[in-house]
Amino acid sequence: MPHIEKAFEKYVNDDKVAFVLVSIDDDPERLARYVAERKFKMTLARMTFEQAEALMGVKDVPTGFYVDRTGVVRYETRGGETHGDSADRVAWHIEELKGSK
Amino acid sequence: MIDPSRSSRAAISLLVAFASVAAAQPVKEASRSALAEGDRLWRIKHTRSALLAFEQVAAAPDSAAQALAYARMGRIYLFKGAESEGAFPGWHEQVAFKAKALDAFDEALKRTPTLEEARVGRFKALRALGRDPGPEPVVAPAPDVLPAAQIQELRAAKKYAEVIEQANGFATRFPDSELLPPVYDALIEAYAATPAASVDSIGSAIDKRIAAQPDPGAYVSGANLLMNRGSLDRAARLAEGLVKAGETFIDENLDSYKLAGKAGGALGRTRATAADLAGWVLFLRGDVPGAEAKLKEADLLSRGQDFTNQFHIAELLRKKGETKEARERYLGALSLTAGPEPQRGAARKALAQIEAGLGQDPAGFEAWLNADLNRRRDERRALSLRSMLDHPVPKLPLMALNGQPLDLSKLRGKVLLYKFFASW
Repeated sequence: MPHIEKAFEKYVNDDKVAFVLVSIDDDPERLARYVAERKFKMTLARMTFEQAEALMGVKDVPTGFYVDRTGVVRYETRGGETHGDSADRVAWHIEELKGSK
Repeated sequence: MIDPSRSSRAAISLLVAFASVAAAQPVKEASRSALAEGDRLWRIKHTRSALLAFEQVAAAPDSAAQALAYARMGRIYLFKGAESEGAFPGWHEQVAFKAKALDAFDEALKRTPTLEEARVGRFKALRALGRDPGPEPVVAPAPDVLPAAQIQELRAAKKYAEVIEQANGFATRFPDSELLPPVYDALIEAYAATPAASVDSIGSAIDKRIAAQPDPGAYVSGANLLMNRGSLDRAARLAEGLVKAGETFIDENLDSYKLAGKAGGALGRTRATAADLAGWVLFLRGDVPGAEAKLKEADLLSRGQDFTNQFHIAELLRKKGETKEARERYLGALSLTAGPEPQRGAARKALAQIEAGLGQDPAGFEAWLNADLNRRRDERRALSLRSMLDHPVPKLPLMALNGQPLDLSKLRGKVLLYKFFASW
């Protein structure tokens, strides 16, 4: 998550890019405590694990989907990636999609 | 003595001859050069620009030229509709073009009923549509067809000295032939199999192949061949040219990639291959940091799914002494299905050495490797089954943190990162 926050700083004022954090927590209170502690600046949302699994194939967290301007998933990163998930890598994916048609 | 009836018959036959000549011949100068430009664009498979060129001729008031333009458009539609499945990576036939081809040939024949290429095209279009095409028009094959077929036979029989002689002769005799790309492919293969062939002759054949048809594959195979022959400068130039050529080629044939996602994927693969080629040239030159940057860029672009790129990264990591990471990459590469046997063999050999270095028993290597690769393939299959790649995001029942429904339609049209997380 720190990588995402760091990458997001670059896009705070970019109206062509948005980051959406989707929690699949089943306990809203614990989530509320976590969010209060972390003070995320990104858009926050919730859905159930079952819905996330059925609609997006989420089996594990964290899972990321990079979506192009037409609404199509162009990259996905699954939990437990071996090659890391640095801020640069997040930004690389975003820049790729900003440049694509 | 002149027989008047005879002379009038002669006059009539002269008139008939004149009429048929008149129908086939007088293409105006302006149309002629526009047709030639369309033909050139078609030969290099820049089909969008070729169609535009022919459409312009068809719109000009020159009936004979219109007939030819419609016949050439029909030829391109027929190719798109019935002959292009798998012609290049990612290509699909667009069945709707079969009917368009028939229409175009009909338009051509309306203007010049005797136009041979339109009659042949119409026959093929009807056959492609599954309709009764009638008797096949009898036409003499073009002069380049037989020699081109002979060259392919020699190539299949691996008679490479003859291929080199015949192919070079063909290129001189038929500089505008549609069949040049496969002839040059045969020539390049023959040179590659001939150790005495100079790098210059190989490089020149590759350049001519690209000039005849600048599809991305020509750049990639050319660069690989030149690298094998140690001509790193020429290989690097081809790698540099690949991205631009790939973009143009894909853009010119967008409808053959059918889905926007396919064109995007094809572009991504081209860029990935270009980065990998460039990285590998740097590696062979001894520039390890430069090579690493390029190879890892290719890794991102190909989503880690390209055998050659994974193999190259493994070789690089091994050279850097990062044995553990290299081992992972070799295994990852081998678990992908593609890849030429020499590289697969090299990857297996490298792994065997690494395993021996780790103190593993060489006798158990094959069994261990197969079990490990099977496990990786199963994992990949499971992953791809639930993958969202290239799929649109469905409507998500999102809630705000307070449990109220959350409408994010205002984010439509932006580049989005959805990150699923949990606080536990």
